[in-house]
Amino acid sequence: MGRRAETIILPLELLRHLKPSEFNDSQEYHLWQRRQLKILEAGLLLHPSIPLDKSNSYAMRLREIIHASETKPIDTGKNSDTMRTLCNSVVSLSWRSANGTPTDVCHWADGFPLNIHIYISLLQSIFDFRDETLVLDEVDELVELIKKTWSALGINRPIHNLCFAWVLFQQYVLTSQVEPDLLYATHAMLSTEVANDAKKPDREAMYVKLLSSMLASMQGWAERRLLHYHDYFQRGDVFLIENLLPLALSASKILGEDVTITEGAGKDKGDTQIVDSSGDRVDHYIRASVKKAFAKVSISFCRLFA
Amino acid sequence: MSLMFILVCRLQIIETGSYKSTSLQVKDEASEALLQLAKEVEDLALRERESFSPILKKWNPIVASVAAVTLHQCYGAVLKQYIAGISTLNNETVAVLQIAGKLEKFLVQMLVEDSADCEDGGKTIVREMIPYEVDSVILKLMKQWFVERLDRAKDCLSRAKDSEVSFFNLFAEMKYSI
Repeated sequence: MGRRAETIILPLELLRHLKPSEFNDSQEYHLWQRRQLKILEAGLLLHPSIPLDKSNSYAMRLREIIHASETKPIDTGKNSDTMRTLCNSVVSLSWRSANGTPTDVCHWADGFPLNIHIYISLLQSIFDFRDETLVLDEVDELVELIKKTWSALGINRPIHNLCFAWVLFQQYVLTSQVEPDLLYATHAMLSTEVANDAKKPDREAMYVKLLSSMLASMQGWAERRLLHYHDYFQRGDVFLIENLLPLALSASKILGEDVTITEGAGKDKGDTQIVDSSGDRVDHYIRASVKKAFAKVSISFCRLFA
Repeated sequence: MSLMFILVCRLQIIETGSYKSTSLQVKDEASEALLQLAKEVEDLALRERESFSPILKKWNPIVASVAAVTLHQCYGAVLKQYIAGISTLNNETVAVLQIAGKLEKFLVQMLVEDSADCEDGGKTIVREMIPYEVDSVILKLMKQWFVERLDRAKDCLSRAKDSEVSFFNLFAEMKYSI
């Protein structure tokens, strides 16, 4: 066809070209059609990258068609009025631009957070489905291919780096935390690429939002364990702290907590003291975890005096 | 210290049987729990030093000291509560106070070994360890114990004296009536 990938509205093309006869039965077709329309709804109506005017007539028509498709499949034949209206609305909505100037990229899947969900799903294909703790040998080729979606999904390198770190971390958690290499790889990604990207001055709002929520999630997960390490780690897996702790520390560092200003020794002189916090955080983890471990063994005593 | 302990034990043996009130039974349970707790705290400290500190040390040079100080504070809070409830010295309370002293020594040792090589030689962190001062608690309780005994002896003496007097009077009265 010779068209550039970023100008193809995939769900619309699929709706146009796949016929009900190609499915096992009408119900299967209906479900499939609903899914395509749901994607269009998510990308164009619910999470458009360019804010939508409430009175936009294309949006209203698209909404009606999607609503109608709930009860029975819409006719996607060549001569169908509904299909003509659908194409018209989808194309018009996709080719909008922020300031009215013509654009060479269509926007149907680059709105946040739909784009991130799609991109993360794509990135998950780097894992071997026979052993999900393994990254495929062809990871570099795969990532090169995945990068071709950047313009369609509105992804750039910082977002890619962040999502890549997230996918590694998520895979570690999803695969029951049996492969510490995944955690190690997450940390490697965070402490180098992501840490550098996060420092850049011209970060976009979406990136900052994504960065803080992903990092806070990782940090929270890691700290839930570190603040209870006596409980979470038994003799055999204590070494996991070695991978988990750096992750928590880099996440905190990027989140902007790397230097804490304390009013300690310098208080009298009226100035503040800057303390390197990774040591302080570890201090905090030890105290919290030891206190909890003590509370656990002293329960019988507390009951006696209650 | 050990002489004092033997002395207290002896005194306690003399008194056996006279203290079977319910409040004492609760106290005994508390003593039992505190002795057990001291053992648990020592185990926690050992686990910390052997399993966790070698790993955590990479990020903070005095991790074992931090754990020792925290455990010292945790046990200290419970001990304080216990000491506040002691009315008299007995076998159990002395045992608890002695174990607390031993635990304290162990934790101080752990801190000293761990922080010897750090910048200030552990001077800052050791300040967080407020001594249990079990010896002075024992001394105080002993003093109190002696005072109580003395009071009781005085009481007995005066009662004996009184009864002797009244006995004499009674005797005189009887003699008179005969």
